Amino acid sequence: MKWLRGLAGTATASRAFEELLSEHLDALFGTALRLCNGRQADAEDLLQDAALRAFDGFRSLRQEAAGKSWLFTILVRTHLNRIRSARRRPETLASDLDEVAFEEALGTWQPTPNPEELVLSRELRQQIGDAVDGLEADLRSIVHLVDVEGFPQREVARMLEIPEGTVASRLFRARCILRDRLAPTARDYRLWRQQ
Amino acid sequence: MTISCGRARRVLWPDAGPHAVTPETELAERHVAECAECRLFLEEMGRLGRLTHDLAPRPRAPRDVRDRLFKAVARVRTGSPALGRRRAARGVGLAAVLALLAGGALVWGRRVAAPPDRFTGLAEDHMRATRGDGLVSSDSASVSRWLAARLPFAMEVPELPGLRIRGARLCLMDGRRGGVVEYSSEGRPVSYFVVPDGEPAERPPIGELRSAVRAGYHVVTWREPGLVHALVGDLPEATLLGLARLCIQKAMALLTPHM
Repeated sequence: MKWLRGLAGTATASRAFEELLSEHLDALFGTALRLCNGRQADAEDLLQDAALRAFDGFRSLRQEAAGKSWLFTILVRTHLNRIRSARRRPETLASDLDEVAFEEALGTWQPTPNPEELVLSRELRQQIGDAVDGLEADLRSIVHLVDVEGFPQREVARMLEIPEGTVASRLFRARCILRDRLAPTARDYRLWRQQ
Repeated sequence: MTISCGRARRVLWPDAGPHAVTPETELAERHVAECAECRLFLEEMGRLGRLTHDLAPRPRAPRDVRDRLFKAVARVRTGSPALGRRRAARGVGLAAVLALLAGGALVWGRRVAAPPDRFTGLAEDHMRATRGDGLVSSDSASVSRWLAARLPFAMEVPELPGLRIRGARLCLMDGRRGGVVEYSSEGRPVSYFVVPDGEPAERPPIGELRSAVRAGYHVVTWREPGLVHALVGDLPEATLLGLARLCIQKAMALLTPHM
């Protein structure tokens, strides 16, 4: 709070906002792209909407350390609001699992050859990017926020306004899909553990 | 008391953040210690997450997107007509940006508040630079000769790690003609300015690095007697500061007689 009290002047607050936005701009743009299914024009519109909302509400930010999460929350919720206004969006996916079904799904998981080592290559990066981009929108946003951006699942649940268990079950489903899609690559790169 | 594989995996689900250790957690941990398949499950979930984190592409915001975004924020800041959308934003001039940039000083973390017009002018020149008015060359000697023929002071053209020389141009800061060496770092432009020092009212100590953000670009400046140097770009601040120190070291090395 001390840091914000220091931002006495409007111009100074604007500078501080500009600094915060600039620091996270690439990550916000990447997230907007994934939320908009790779459409750059839509991603830019979304990013601009979110940035203007964030600018309006900048004084509500109380801790500098929370700036990144705060910006991402605004971006994600702006995206959700757009979807909701475009169509009546169901709050749950038809394929979302309740806790019992989630446990059952976890229980039926079978090991396949597992990642043995990471082999960095442009091809592998491309394939992982394609695999993530190929996920359905609600799974893609979870994987991006949790795995790519590194937000805790609890925080992602708050951003998306869904239960933590739903984040976990969607993440599980997304990772199972990624595992299947990466299976040929995994064999090529000997990423999977030999059984 | 036993626990199913599904329940144990749910209780120990990775990446869920801190959680209380309960008798069920301990039971799940004992189960996993004895169940190879559950261990494989937890390993695989972790590996898939790390694989995605490490290797999924992270696109950078293109420069035109960055510029339009900050212009839109500037319009809101200055109360200009609400054209705040990307498509409407196209073609709007720099006036609103300049109005935003003209006010206030940066107070963030450890950064030093510095004369806003100097930073602003540098960021503005970097932002509007076009290649048509200068020299296009990746050869430092050619760039150096080009600048020497046009500037009233000697300007070094340092070769900097991670940066590729792309050319040079001239700039005008408060009526003073300076030189700019243009670099590229993985497609991101970086400008190195040297301009005659014309601000006697506020002169930071020689060699002191000052940093700010203007229009989405980091600006790092420092002085030597009679000249102001600056690096401007959208690289991380720490990278620009490191490059600035290297520029200073190279300049010092030129002044030090060889033994």
